[in-house]
Amino acid sequence: MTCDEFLDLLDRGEALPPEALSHLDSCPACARAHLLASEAARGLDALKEDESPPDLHARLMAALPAERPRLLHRRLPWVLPLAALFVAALLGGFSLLTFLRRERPEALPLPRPSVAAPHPAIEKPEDSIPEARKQAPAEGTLPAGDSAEALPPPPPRPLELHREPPLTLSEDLREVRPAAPAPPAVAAAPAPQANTQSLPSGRGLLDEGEPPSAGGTAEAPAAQEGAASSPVLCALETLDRSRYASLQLPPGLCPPPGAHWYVVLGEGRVTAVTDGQGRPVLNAVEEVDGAVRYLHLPPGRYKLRRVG
Amino acid sequence: MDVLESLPGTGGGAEADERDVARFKAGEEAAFERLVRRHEREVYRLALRLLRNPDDALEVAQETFLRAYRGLSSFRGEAAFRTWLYGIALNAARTRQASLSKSLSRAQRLEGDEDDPPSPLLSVSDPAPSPENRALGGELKEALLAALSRISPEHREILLLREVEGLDYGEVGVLLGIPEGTVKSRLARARRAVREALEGIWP
Repeated sequence: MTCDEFLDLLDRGEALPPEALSHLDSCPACARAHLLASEAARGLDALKEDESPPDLHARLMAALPAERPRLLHRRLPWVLPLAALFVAALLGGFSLLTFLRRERPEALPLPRPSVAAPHPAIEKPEDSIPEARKQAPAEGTLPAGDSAEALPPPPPRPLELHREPPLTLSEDLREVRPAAPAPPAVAAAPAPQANTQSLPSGRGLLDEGEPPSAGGTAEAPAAQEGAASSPVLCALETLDRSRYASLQLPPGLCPPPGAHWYVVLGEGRVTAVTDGQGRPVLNAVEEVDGAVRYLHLPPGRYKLRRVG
Repeated sequence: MDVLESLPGTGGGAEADERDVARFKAGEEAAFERLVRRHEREVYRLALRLLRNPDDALEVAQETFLRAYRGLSSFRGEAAFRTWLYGIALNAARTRQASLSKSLSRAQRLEGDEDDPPSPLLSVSDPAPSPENRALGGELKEALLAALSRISPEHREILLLREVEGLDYGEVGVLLGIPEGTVKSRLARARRAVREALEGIWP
């Protein structure tokens, strides 16, 4: 056997035949190669030794949690409910903050704008109201028998701008339902558990003691109607009356019966409130803005007038 | 049962792997942890032998199981899970090695003249057996590691997969993408290479 043949056999890792072993006796170079091959095999075997750190498993698993939401849930069952609670608290806090920002710190709270429910007093001319509107429950109102004291006030809700044809309102309705506060009419109604009664009382637009408007400024009707008047039903409509929203507002935020105001909406907020002659209505911009901003109306000029 | 299966050398590993892969695909997350436990030490060991650094080995092992977790749902079982996992580990180790080599060559350029001897920090991949290790009886292992660092990466890989991890020729062929005949011939060349490398190290 030659040295090359021996080394080929050696490197194949197979058992050496007898003639290879006899070659070893006569060839020191191949004997040395044989020794080194044996030592290499022994050394490779030593590399099987486990040298992993004791915390290997923990460290490997720690690298996984971000990828393993279900495992995380299994191991830490309290994490997800806690996170949900935290998010709920955040949302609740935000809603409360939003609500409080709309409230004035003094006096009575402003009534929340709401889609007008058919007031008993205005249900009379049923023929003039579409059937769907007659049957639809009023949003933001309480069921009969409930009161604002018994139940917490519902959170402010965005109001929907109606896309149906405008109501044939104003004159007939106004005749049926006297303008707020109109206590005799309401008191005389046979079913007094009306929607407006379940809402908090409105407050005047103008603070008591505020100086009367001067010159070219229109005066808000609250000055005449008193700060604690009941909310009145108002309509905010486009000038062509193709779209409208009905609102319950404190009297101070609504023009006097028979009159109308113009509300100018910029991007997301009211920028001006003027009377029919184009004179700015004193202190009305901020209050009207607070009442109508949730309608998310497109910018433009709108007409605001009293319905009830 | 799971404890027994997770111990090295208890057999039945391939079947247990199959079962756990199926369970994981069915939504049982704990099955993946059993797979990790069953193979973590061999994956770490392969990475350590290839990279010769415990921190790099740990990173490669983490990367391996992360990739396995992400890809297990698409694992079709054409190869054994262990082979598939070794493939991931091998790729991760190669990527890591390439990145280290790039850093090393950049550092060497920053070191200055190429004629200068390499910094001791940069020559960790080719250590000579230390006197302490010789005294402790680990000299053969150290010598072999030094020899392995002097042979080509493809020879090193095939030797470790076959002689240390104990994969059969077929598995090695699947992993390296070569036919079984090529596995055998490459293995023979690798043995010769390491033997020749030992020549200058081992008395």
